[in-house]
Amino acid sequence: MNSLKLIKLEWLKYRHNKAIWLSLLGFVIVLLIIMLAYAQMDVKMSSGPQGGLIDLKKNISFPEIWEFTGYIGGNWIGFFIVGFLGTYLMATEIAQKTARQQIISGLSRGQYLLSKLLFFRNIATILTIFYVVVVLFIGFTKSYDSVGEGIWLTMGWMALRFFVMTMLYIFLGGLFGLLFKKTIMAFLFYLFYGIFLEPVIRWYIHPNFAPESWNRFYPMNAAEDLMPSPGQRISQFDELLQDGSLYLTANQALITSIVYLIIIFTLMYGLMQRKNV
Amino acid sequence: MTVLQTKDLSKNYGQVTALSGLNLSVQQGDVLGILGPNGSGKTTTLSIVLNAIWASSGSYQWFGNQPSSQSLKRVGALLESPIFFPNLTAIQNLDIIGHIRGVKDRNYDDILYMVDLYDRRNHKFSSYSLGMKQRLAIASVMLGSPEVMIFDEPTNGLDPKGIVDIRNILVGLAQSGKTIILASHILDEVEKICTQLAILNQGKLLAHGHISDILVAKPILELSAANNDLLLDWIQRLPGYRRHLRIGERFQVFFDKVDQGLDINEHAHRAGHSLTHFQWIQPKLEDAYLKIIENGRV
Repeated sequence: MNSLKLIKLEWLKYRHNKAIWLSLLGFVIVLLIIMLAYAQMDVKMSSGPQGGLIDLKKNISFPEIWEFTGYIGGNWIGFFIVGFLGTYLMATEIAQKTARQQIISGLSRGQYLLSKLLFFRNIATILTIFYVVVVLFIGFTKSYDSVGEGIWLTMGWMALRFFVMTMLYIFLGGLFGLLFKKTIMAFLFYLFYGIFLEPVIRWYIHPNFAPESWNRFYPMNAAEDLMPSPGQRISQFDELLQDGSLYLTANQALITSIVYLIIIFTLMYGLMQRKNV
Repeated sequence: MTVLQTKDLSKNYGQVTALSGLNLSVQQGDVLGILGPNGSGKTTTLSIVLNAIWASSGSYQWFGNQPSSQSLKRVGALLESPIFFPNLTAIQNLDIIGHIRGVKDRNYDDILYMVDLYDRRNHKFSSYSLGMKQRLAIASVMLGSPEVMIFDEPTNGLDPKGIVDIRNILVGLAQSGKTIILASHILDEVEKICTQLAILNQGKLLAHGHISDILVAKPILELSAANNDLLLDWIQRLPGYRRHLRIGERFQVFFDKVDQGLDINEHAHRAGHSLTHFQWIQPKLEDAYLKIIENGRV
C-alpha cells in the first residue's frame, strides 16, 4: 500500500471525527483570540539592566511576529492540543483494537504505523498553515509596521521551525500513546514529562553525569527552543555576556528536533513490530 | 491445496502456557471447527495466524508461503468481538476494510442485504445492538469474497434469534465451498456448520480430523479377549472397520458402517477368539466431546 493509500485510509477513519476537527479549530480560534487580545494592549516594559523601554507591540510587527506567534501557538496552545492529538490518535486505536482489526485485514504493522505518522504530518502541516495565516492576518491588520521584505524572507524559515516543533510534540504524544494505550494516561504522562520530568532531569539529574551545557539538548527543550519566548530573546544578551547560553540556537534546535523525530520514529517502529495488538 | 499449516506453534504468557506445540493443517474447501472450552487456546491460535500476536515458538504458513500482510488480504477474519469505529456507519466501516484489502467493488448493498443490515447501513456503529454488530463483522469478513473466512465465537452474547440468524449465514457460506475456520466452545454450533474438527484444551490439540470420526455418533464396539494381540488383527478385518482405540485391556472399535446383523460373538468364536468382554456402546456427541476433553486424547 503506497503513501497516498495510507493517507486515504486515515482520511476514511477520521474525516467524521469531531475530536480532531474541534482540536484543530480550537487551535486556530484560541491563537487568534490571544493574538487579537495582545494587539489591543499598549504596554511598554523595562528591558532589564540596560534600562530603556521595550515596546511590546513590536511582537506583533514583522518580523518579530513570526517568532512571537510561534511561541504562543506552538509552545502553549500547540503543546497541549498537538500532544493531545498524538496520544489520542495512537492510544484509542490500540485500546479500542481497531488497530488490530486493520492488521488482521491485511495492513502490515509498518504500514499501520506509517499511516499514523503520515496523518501526524498532515496535522502538523494544517497547523503550520493556520499559524502562517494568523501571523499574516494579525501582522497586516494590527501592526504599525507591515511593510518590508522581512515579511516574506522569514516566512519559510519560521514555518519550517513551527512545523518541526509541531511534529516533535505530536510524535512524543504518539509515542506515549503507543506505550500507555489509554489516551488519558498517555496525555497525563505527556504533560508530566513536558512540564515536570524533563526539567527535573535537565537541572537536577543531568549535571551529575554529563556536562551541564548539554542539558539543552533534551526533546521538549529542543522543541521549545524552536520558537523561543520574546523574554528569552531579551535575556539572551545577558547570558551571552556570561559566556554561555541556556538556549539552543534556532539551527541547533532544528537539527536536534529532527534527530529526535528519527529516534522516536525508530522507537515506535520497534514497539509496533514487537507489540501484541 | 494446504491453506493454513501450523508447525509446533506455542504461546506463553509468563509462566502460563496458552498454546503448546500446535500442528494443524487446513485444506482448501475445509470447513474446520476449532472446538474447546473457554481458555483452551482457540483465540490465541487465531490471533497468532492473523498476525495480531506473536508466537513464542513455532511457525505457520498461509497458502504455502511465509506469513505476510499480503496473504492476510486473502483472509477475512472476525477475532473475538466485532471491532469497528464507533462514530462511523456500517458503510463507512466496511469502506475502511475494503480499502485495506484492495476491494475493487465498493458497493456494499448486496452484502448488507445478506446480513440484514441494509436498512441500518447509514446508522452509526455505536447505535447497533450486539447482534447487529456481529452481523456487520460477518459482512466485513465476507467483503471482497476472500478465499478463507475465519470466525471466532461469532454467536457470543447473542439471543436465540440472533444465534439462529448468524448460524444460517455461516451455513450458507459453508455450503458455498469457501474455506472456513470457526472457533467456538459450542458443540452444537460446530456440528451444524463444520465438516472438519480440531479439539483444543489447555493449549493442546487433542483431536483433528473429520467431525464424524472424532465425535462419533455411531455405535462403538467395546471388547476384549484372552489374547488381545491376536484379537487386534481380527478386529482390523471386521466389515466396516475404521479405527480402534486401546483403553487398558479393552478395545473400542469405530466403524464407518455398522453391520447390525453381524453376530460379533459368533464371528469371533469362529475365528478362534474367546471374548472376555463384549458390548455395543451408543455414544452421544456431547459424551464423545467431553470424553476427549477429560481424557486429553482421542
